[in-house]
Amino acid sequence: MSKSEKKIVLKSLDNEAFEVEKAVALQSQTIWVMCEDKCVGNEIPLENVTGQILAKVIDYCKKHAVVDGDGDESSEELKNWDTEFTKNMDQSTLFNMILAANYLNIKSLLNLTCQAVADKTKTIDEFHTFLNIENNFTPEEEAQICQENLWAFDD
Amino acid sequence: MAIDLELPNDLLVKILSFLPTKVAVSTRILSKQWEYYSESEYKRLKCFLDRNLPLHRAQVIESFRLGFYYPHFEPGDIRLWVLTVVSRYIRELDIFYVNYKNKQDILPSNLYTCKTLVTLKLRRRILVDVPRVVCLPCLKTLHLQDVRYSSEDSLQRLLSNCSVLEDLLVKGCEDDNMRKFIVIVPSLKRLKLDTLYDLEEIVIHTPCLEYLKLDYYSCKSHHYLIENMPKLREASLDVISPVLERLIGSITSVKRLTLCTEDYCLEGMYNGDDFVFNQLEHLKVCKWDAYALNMLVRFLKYSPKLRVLDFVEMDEHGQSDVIFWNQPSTVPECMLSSLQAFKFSGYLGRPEERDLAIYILKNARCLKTATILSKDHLFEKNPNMIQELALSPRASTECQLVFDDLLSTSKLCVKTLVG
Repeated sequence: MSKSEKKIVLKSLDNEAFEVEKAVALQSQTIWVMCEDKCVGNEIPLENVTGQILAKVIDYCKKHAVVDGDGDESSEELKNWDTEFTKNMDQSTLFNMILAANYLNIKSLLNLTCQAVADKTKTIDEFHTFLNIENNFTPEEEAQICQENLWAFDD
Repeated sequence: MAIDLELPNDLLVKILSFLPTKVAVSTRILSKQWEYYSESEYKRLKCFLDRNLPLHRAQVIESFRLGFYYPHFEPGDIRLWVLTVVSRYIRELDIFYVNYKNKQDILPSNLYTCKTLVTLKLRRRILVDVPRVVCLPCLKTLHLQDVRYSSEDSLQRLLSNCSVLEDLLVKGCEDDNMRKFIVIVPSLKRLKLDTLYDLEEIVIHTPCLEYLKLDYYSCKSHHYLIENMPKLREASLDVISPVLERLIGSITSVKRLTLCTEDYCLEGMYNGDDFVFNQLEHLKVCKWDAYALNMLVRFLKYSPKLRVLDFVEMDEHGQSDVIFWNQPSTVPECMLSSLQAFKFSGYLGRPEERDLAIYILKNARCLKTATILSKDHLFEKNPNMIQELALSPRASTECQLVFDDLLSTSKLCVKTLVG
């Protein structure tokens, strides 16, 4: 295999190009399928991901590719890295990361980012604001549901 | 920060799945679009139970607990599962079930003759239809909260053949068809009755009872019989009833007593002779009216071993009412020899409150601590309130006086220490 075949170029929505090791990029099932099908050349356009987000996704994939490769780093250390990775992301970045992880089909990253959102929203009100969801229940319906769900808080 | 981004439903559901169950359930009121999340969970659960319960081959099922509400399960589903677990020698059955549409007839008749059942807890509108033959020879704990009875003697019939029952909790609800509360269970040790609805008859014959809690508000006069309970150690009465005084007369063996009573519809005072609490060490009072004060005087007089006197916080201070505190004519025995701790929560410094506190400080010779709790920085605003108690004479030289006016319901921090 020549050197160029080991590298792959990912092109973001805003036309930013990232050259990465194939092993790093192939953690994305979506990219893996594209390469398998040989339906793309060495440059893969990713129409749903901005450069800013793609850079972060690549950071994540690099970290995880290295660890999976040499096994030197403990899983504990990787976990800490993951925590730090999402800790300071704002809401909009987190959402975009979830969408990107979903589109690129990187299961571990999707789990990590969804968990991060869940950790940041513990009450119903936080959900409404953080997840940008409209509460379309009438107060009566809401009371009824609360009543029905009382068992969950019993004892 | 509000953003325009919207996540698709499957991703929202994924986020939900990372939440603890209780939080996830409460998120059902997020939005209508989320409802299907829990719907599908329940379908999976039903499928799991339908398929796997009948395959269960263990000798005994230790415990089976269900908590459901409409519309996810039909009464027939649950009935079938209960039938299965009862035939598998169940020891503990705990069901919470709400179904607003259907009659909640989910208990098969074999439940009432289950030879292995030790604990039975039923909650929320479940129909208790007791057959003529009942036999629960191992049942020790029975909790019936907000259930409905098919006939007015269902409860009595259910209790008729539980020879080792020790713990009974009955909580009434509207239209529950419980007209009488008749408990004749020689083995019973703990009894709680909680109902706001009128009963025609109360009969309690439980000679081994150790703990009694009654929450009962009804001015309707009814047949009433409570037999002597010589082993009773602790009682808590939150009662409005014409027979209140007779009730108090039948629990005189207690060591600890909590009283939240009113003379709202009392049929007459009991005379002092039968009102001797020889064992009483800990008295908690949670009302502050003329009757409660009158009652307190009687308790001080007739509880020679009282060690701890506790006024728990009372919400309903009638600001306009002046209550006269009639000091006992002679100093009661407990003041001279046993009272060690006095606590007054919700102190507002009104004359009768002050007089009571001063009286106790002045006469209780063995008092070790007197704790006066107020709120809203009342002592800070009125330093005189502390002064008038701190400077009043004290019978006990060891007595420590503690004031605190920062009290929130759960937190207590000692702010000022005098003496």
